[in-house]
Amino acid sequence: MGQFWEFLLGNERFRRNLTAYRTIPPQTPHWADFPADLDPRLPRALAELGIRRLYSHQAEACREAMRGRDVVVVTPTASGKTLCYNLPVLDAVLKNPQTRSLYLFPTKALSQDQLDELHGLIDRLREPIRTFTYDGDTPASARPTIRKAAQIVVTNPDMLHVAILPHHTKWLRLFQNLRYVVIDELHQYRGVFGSHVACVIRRLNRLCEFYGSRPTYICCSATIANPEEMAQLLLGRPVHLVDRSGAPRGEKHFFFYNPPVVNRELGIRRSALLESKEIAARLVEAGAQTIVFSRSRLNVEVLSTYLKHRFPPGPGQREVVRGYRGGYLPRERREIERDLREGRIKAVVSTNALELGIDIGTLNAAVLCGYPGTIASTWQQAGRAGRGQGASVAVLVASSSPLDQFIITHPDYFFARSPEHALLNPDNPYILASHLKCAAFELPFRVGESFGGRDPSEYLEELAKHQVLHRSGDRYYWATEGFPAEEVSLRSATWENFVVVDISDQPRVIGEVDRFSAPLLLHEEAIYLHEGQQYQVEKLDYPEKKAYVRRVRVNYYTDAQLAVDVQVLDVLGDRASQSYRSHWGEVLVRARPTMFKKIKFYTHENLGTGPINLPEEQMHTTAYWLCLTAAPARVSREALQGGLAGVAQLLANVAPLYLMCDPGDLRVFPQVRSPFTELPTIYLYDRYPGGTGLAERAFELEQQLLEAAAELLEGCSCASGCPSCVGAPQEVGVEAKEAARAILSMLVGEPR
Amino acid sequence: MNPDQLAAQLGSSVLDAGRGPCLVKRGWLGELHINLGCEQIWQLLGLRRPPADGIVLMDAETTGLGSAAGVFIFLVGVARYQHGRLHYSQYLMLDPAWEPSLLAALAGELATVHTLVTFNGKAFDWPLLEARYVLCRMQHPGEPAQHLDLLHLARRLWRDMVPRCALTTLEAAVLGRPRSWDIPNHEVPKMYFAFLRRRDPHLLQPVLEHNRHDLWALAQLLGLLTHRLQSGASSHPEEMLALALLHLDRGSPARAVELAERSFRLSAGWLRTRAAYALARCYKRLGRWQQAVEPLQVLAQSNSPRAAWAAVELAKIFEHRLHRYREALHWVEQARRLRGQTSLGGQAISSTALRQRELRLRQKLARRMAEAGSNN
Repeated sequence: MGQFWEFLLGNERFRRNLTAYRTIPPQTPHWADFPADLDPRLPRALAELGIRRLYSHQAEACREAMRGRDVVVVTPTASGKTLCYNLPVLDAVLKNPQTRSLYLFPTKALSQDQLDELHGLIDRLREPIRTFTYDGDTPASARPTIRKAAQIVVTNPDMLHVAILPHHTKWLRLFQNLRYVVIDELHQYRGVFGSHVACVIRRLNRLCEFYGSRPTYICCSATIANPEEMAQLLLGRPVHLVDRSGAPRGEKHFFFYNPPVVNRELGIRRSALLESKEIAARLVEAGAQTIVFSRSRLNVEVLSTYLKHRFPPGPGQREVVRGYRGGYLPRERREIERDLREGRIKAVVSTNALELGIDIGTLNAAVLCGYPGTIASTWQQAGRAGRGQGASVAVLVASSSPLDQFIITHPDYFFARSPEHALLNPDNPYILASHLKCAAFELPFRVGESFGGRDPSEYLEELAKHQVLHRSGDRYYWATEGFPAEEVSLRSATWENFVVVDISDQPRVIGEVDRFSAPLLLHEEAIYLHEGQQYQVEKLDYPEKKAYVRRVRVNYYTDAQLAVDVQVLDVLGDRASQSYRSHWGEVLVRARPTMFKKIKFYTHENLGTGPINLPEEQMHTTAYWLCLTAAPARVSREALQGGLAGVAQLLANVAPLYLMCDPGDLRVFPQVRSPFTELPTIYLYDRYPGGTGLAERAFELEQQLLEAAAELLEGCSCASGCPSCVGAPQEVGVEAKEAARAILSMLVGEPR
Repeated sequence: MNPDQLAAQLGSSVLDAGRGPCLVKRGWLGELHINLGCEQIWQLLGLRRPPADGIVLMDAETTGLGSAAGVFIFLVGVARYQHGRLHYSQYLMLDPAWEPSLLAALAGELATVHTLVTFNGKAFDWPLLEARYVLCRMQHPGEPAQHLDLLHLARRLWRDMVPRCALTTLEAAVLGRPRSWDIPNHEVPKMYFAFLRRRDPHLLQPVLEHNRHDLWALAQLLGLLTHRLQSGASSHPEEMLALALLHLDRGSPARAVELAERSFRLSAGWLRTRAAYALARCYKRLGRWQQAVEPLQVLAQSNSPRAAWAAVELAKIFEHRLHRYREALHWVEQARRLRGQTSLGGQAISSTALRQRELRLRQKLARRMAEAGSNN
């Protein structure tokens, strides 16, 4: 195989536009023997798969788990982490067939993939180990057998929450004999979602205790700054951290590429999409199997269309370039994954859907079209390239967005910084209260019983007062007809998808689009791209959640614009200070697609626009907001906008640490003159419908938040703004940092 | 109010075997005739053995739907049918804390049951009962030797005649006695929760009555069923058809044919095609090939999803049984026309089989012509 990085560097134009080129040194493998007490059938089966020894981290994880210690494994992509849990689990089943284990994956797609891999190992064992997926797609007729007989149950937290725990009596065998609980993709359980899952795990542990089992947890995570802390928050008990990977790694050549400026006056750069296409095409021509990551579904389709034209399949053969994103049908996705593993595909264009642990083997090169948004994701996407000991290439191509431009021009910011922290709050009162209801439904609470180390008596008394529970003797019994788990959704986004129906011939479903993207991708007259084929949306049946499309061939695609607004519904708390007022309360966040543009392929010129007539998406939630009642000193009216945006960005950066949530759980919304307060206002709102208590907490912790924001600003060494403090100057303006400083010194009191 | 006072108010007694009190109310529900004497009837009901020692009917009142862990059974009515008389026992849980007491008493009652009769008990009452024993860490009594769930039979017989097969709907539509004074089903959990808060026995009185009423309706439904199964008397072609199919599956084809013929003559439209299908199956089973032709023709020319099947059957009968090859060829032709028409069941027809049949029929016809020629 050629040296792809040399090939790239051979191109003068590529070289000229690089802002950074780093080489990450290779690592030789660290081997270890199989744990001595491992069932001998396992090493024999693994030998048939070509595995004769374990990497050091695999051996360590197995050893600790088999000793009954909870483990969290953090190692890079493709370091063989699945063996870390498959070995202890299979060992336990082989030694005692009564043993049960539970696998939790954040999505259905991942569980399917894992099951395939596990089956591969079980086949070699030639032992009848019963492994089943139990999720929304499991046929009702198969469920009773799975509940009784499955030795390994593969599911997701949502299913555990709504289908397994409330029906635990039917899972008697599972709960009595539960030995291991595997939580893969631990880093996904951040923020509000993670807080929910932490409560689901407390419920699981409570039932295990009832049935007399105490499972060992084995967690796997992608690289985050604080895996140990996060696992402890999620599980509520200390864990053993395994983070020294013994897997070999080839040399990685990491390039930062900034597309050339095409219009110097307007500062317009060549599109990241077209540059990514060129770089990917060059890599494919050099023989590198390449993955291209793009942030939007639309760009996935556009890029894969371009690359398909460039690399047409041989006559009668399958495409060698494929797109991949959520919304493709499962069968289609399986086929792409298999073709990737088996090398039949030369290039795949994907959203971050493939950043997750889906097994596609490892490729030679990764092209990141746009900065993925976090340091952790960037490393994870770059980690998709790098097969065995061979060298690999990763290219980050910046878009013209301010954040991308900042990162690409400050490579040290990226390379020197550790990945983001992942946080969750297992004691968020809103979330805790809703799961206590579920727990009380599952098993009556004893007076004095703790819930994952917390005393729930206050909540239980409250529920009894509202006649949800009935206290009798020393217990609280469920006392309504309701089914509480059904009223609690673990995720903010609803699962309800829009279905895309192709009516060119016999109507058939070709894909799905989630509810929040649907107005942008499936409005009438939109060009919907699926696997590079163009379809025009003829009719969007909004209430029925169906879009009817017809195949077309046009030379453009469409891009829709979204307008967001926050409207105050009810003020639940307010407080006045000398120069500002703060509030928290209920708000309505409205998002409405306004118009769409027709954009010509390749040239990207605008061919015209059209209106979108769709109802706005509304979300009822809670917000904290702060409005300035006095003018900050030395801030011009013009600079105020940037200053507010800067303070909002600072708050967005510090709030997750204080509110113990994920940055994605919150949104900030600055307004120079809010229609509600008629003053310069910053809103901080909760992204879960109904709110999860973050706004109220922000209101309570306001001074701490403001002080932390001021510290962050002062402590940041940048000259005039960066994404870590007020935002990139390209986004908020060069005066923003100074203006934000003035605003904060007014809010915090003492000028620093 | 303490358990003894509640018991007195509700005309019941307190059982307490160390697991807390449980109320039991016993009495006499009424007299009726349930014909379980002859073998044919219990076979038609789907029972494998004669109900030894009488039968027991059971109906549970619960705090919700489904069998998830937070749904309690707070009242179980059990009625024993012996010598034409129906005696009931109702076990009432006065507080969720005393659930084990109810379950223990019930286990004693169920231990001796040979044939249990319920309405939707297989999907609801029984699994929920099992869940409750698990939750109270008690050994559950194990399902009786036979469990007859009348919902399944009621669906077979009356699905086409009533909007939904709920016990109260059937009471009104089939037994002809609508329940007007009773509390509706969905009020039952609410009354119980209100009782838990207020300990007022008057709140339970109507629930106990409701439960007894359900037991009585269950018994009557069983009585009506056994009567229908024995006499076959019915004035509804829908019911006749359902009875015919029941006889065909579990009883005597001779009775089935009788009922199916009557249903076929009396019905029209969609029902007639279904009757034709049943009748054709009856004739086939009895080997009455000539007679099977008429219902099959009706079916083959209808827009029923069995049309394609009927055409193939006709081709087979004309070829192998009646040896009328030209007619057989005609039905091969018809079957070919129906092939691929999903709404008529044509996707199941194999074109290879059709081609082979046609070839064989043409050979047979040619041979017959040759034979006729040589005879002349």
